[in-house]
Amino acid sequence: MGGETEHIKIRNIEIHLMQFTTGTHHKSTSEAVIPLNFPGSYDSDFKTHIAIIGDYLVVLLAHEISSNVHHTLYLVDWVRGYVMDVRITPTSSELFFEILNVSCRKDALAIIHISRS
Amino acid sequence: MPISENTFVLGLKRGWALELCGITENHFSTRRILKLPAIHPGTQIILKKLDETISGTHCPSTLGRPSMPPFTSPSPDAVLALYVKANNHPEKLSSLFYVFPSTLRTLAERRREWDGDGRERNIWSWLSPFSPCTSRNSPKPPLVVPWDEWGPESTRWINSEDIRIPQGLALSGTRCTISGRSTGCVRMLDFNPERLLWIEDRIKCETGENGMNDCLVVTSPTTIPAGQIFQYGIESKLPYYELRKTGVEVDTMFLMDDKRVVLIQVCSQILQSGQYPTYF
Repeated sequence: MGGETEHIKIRNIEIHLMQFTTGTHHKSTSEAVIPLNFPGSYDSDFKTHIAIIGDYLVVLLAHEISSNVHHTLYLVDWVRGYVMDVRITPTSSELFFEILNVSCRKDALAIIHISRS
Repeated sequence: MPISENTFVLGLKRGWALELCGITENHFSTRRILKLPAIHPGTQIILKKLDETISGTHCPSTLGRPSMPPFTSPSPDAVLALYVKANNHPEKLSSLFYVFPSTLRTLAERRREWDGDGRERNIWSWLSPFSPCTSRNSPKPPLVVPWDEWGPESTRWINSEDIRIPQGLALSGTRCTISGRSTGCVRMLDFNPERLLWIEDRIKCETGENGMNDCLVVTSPTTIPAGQIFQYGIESKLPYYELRKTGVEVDTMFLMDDKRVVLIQVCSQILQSGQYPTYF
């Protein structure tokens, strides 16, 4: 759980990268658990969309801030294990996303487990 | 040095556009914002992507193994299908449109000389829902491409007022089935350019025309008239061919891949021979 800014809490989810065959931490990532922070709260509109592009994960979170649904887009280097870029919608909006060009690594078949805290 | 870049598309409700994003130097960069046809002010619009049906294995080139019979993998350039609904309209008016990801990639990667005079203006603040000040890197203002400059040539729009969305739709590869809510008619649209040529040649050889009975080749522009969602008629030209099957029950489920479409209905009565399943 993160800190608190005014009345908006900072929430945290974790991406766990695991080997599909063994369920253990994925051998290609230096950080088996990658935390993502976002402001707001979990509610019925909370959704996650995730896609893998080579060494990157693109993660789209739909979450609530002050009764409005916002979207936060994360670019994660899953091999080195850190978040490289974050974009958040300043206002309520509705989004989908689709990857147009996929260049997956051969060893990228992994279990991606997202846990809330 | 050339940078290998990957691209993804965001559907923007605010701004009413498709945003083509790339990953460059470890951050997101907006390459193009493709405007969608103008809608009437105050319309509560929904824009969603139609997911591929679960049959068939996606991306055979990346998995490196064939899919399991009887279904096969879709072609690499699967068509992107999106549907538009007016949420605040009592009749739930809706439309479908199709575009190839390769076309969007080409638009995203085109050099800026293509942009023309006076088109590079900073519309970021009011068009994109993502504010650059919240990003760690301040991207250059993206280029806005008006609908008329990319849409009619690259898309095909289908009026879908009679369709249960998304239940009445199925998508795999370059093919999409559309089930009418009241007509009992199922349409199978295929945007595969190679199959289109083959079908077109075959029909012309047999009939000398563009269609026969339940098969129709559509290579000419079609227009969805302006109405309660869209301010102007939407012309679109992406070629496809269409197969139609009538007399299909409304609650029929679809399984499909790039070669087969199977219509399945669960019922308690003993099936007549040849009734189900139905293949295209």
